Amino acid sequence: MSKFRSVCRFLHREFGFLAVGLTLAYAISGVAVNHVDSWNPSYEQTVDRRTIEAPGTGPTEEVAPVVIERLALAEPVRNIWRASDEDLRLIVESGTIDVNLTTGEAVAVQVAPRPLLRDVNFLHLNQGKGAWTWIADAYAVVLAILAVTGIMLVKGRRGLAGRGGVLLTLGVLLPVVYVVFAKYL
Amino acid sequence: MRLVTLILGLAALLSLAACSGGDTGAGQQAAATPSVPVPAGKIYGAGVSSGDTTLVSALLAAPAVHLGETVRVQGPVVNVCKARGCWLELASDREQQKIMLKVNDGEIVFPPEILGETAIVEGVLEGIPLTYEEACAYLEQEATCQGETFDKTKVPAEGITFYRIKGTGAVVLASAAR
Repeated sequence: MSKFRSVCRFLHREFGFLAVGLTLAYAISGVAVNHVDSWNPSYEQTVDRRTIEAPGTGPTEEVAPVVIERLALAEPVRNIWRASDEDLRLIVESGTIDVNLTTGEAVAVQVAPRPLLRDVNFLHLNQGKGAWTWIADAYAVVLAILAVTGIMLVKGRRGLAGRGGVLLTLGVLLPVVYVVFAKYL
Repeated sequence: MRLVTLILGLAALLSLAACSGGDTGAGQQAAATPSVPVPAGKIYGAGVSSGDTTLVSALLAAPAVHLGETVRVQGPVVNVCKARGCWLELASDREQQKIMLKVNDGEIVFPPEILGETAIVEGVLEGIPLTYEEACAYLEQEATCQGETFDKTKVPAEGITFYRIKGTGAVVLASAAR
């Protein structure tokens, strides 16, 4: 048994060091993505409103240059789309600018990647697919090894037979109870 | 020594992973017939099959005819879901028209950087009937999410049938893809 415990300690120690980086990345991303309904975890979005002299609702090829000139944009226009008689959308490097051609009201929505968060979310959500699928699978196996070997690290009152066992039971019951209440009752 | 063995084992595992190809992500090339090659570009999901694209205006002129069909359309990307990247909208060849490509959350993620680029998308055309209240609630939520203004007066009192493409893949053309 002591030989088995020794192997567990070895695996837990070595894999523990190995898993630190990914665990932190996944933990940070986990919190960020968990609240996707109340914020954008990967991109920062800013809205800027201003009013220009209304160019009128003429043909797009006529009003678009006028709008661009009156907005005095600092960045090139990538595309233009006439959304309705009254609405013109300019697509620029930083996002979109919607201009009401009747009132002259312009709403610029700028989108910029959140430093670090966008990258950890990219990993956590496996947006790259391919090789990262396998790396993430390997990491999941490492986490399972850490969980199982962790149980065996300490013996006695603080181990599985004592406080450790109580904590383990609590940790298993928490998701089980939640699922039962949230899904089946 | 044990540490070295462990590191070597993990390195071998990672190398194996890095060498294996992806299955659904960007970078996968869709099957193509020799006659009409798929244009080069950044591929999302399953990409697009070869063949002609349908004009968005033609699709929207008689959507009922194409319901349930696999369609392939092309146009500039004029909107992208900024929260999850789970949909994009292509402008039609006709002014004041657009069509949405919706993908399953997380399966394909469209980044906002593709706004303004030309994309070819593929999927099955579906029609979702919405009452006035349902349409207002849906459009208001989307507008809020996108940081845009929602105008209730533009929603017809009788409600709308919301036509969209349930997407399997897309290609953002190479000349513009970054």
